[in-house]
Amino acid sequence: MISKKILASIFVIGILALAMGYGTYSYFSDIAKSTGNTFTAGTLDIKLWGSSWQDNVVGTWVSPTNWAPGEYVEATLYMKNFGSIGVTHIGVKVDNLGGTGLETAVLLTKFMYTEYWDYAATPPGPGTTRNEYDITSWVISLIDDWNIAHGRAEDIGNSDGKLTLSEFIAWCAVPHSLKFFEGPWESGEPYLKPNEGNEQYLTLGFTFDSGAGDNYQGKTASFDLSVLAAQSYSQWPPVWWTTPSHGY
Amino acid sequence: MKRTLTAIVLIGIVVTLVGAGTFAYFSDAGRSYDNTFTAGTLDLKVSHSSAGPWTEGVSGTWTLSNMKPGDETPTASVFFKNFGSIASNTLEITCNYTVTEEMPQTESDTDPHTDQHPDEMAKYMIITMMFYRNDQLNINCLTGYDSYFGQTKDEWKINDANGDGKISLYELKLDPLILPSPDTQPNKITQLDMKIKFDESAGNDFQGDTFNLTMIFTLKQ
Repeated sequence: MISKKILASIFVIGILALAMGYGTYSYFSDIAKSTGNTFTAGTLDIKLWGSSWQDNVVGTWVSPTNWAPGEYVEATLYMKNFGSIGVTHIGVKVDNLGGTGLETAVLLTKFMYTEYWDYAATPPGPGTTRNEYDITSWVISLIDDWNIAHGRAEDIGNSDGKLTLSEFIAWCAVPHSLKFFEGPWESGEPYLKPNEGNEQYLTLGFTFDSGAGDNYQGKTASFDLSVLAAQSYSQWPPVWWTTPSHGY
Repeated sequence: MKRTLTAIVLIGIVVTLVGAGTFAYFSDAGRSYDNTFTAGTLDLKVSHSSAGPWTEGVSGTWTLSNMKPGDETPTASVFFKNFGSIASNTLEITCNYTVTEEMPQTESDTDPHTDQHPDEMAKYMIITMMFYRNDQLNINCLTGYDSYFGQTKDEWKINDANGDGKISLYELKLDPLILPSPDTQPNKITQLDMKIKFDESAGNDFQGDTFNLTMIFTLKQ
């Protein structure tokens, strides 16, 4: 009983000491601030033409009905940057394979893009003052030769000189993406200027492999092609904006 | 016994009364008037120039517009001066911040709710240079080293909480700087020089977002 009283006394004394301590050791202070420091991030917003500028366009590459071996189809994607900062690096990624197995007989046979082309055609379309760069051979050899025999980490291409849709998709799934422009170019201007600046385009062509056998009759393939844009190399790989395209 | 005690008390009273009459002195009263206790003041003012004007706050010291990963502010400075009547002991520097989402939302902004967790963006706002200095101080607040006296103190540097070798505004908020008084001598002016970079690894979560930074300077006795 006594010890409880002593403990209670000590507790009360402690509380009082603490309270007194607060009183004793309060200090003056004053605050000043630097406000209104704002850091506003810009945007990259690639849009593709499909009757209007859109984030996604559908059915860019559509084969004719009853597509036959040896036949060719191509389509062009028109690109603009609706964001507030310039695009210096751009590429593509192919994925989301669908269909019933035609992808091993669909060959990428054309890959062409524009550089340093700057006009504001509305509606967009191929102009007369464009510089087109055909990198088909480079794209085919890059991916078709992408295998262990060539010192690569993954065995994807069969080095037969043909780049099939299935090889392209397998390569992109590793993951890779085909970066076909690295800027900025000599003038320092971005590939796609901000705020609906210039327009560039990309043409891809596909051929139904002429060596395809009867086992491909009636088969289909579909895929999505995504246009990737970045504001610098360090941002690669960026988030991409897709343009689902179906057909074959 | 009681009688004896009563007698003693009575004698005492009588002696006291007699004494009072016998030993009366002249007396007078003097007073100390107007004893006042006026508390001193600490009055921190800041400026964007050593020449002033001096105010309670400055605005827009560090800004970036259309910022992309890798962009960095130029060096900007805040100058400090104590206009109070007492000397301070330390200056605490910390920060607070908010994030404003763009309206309408940009399709490529992969996190439309960064405003609800601004720390995530603050982790990518990197302090690439921060010096606190006057003619007797030159403290690098990223290392805690004062090159003037050649000494280092932990409280003079921001702790790299995630150990990535970069100091972010998020880490400054977690670990305020406790720096030496900016007014170690009368009319001393001390300044903070700082550069801020939007880290190269910042992702699309922050596209179009605005990071609103308030730097808070607390002068302490």
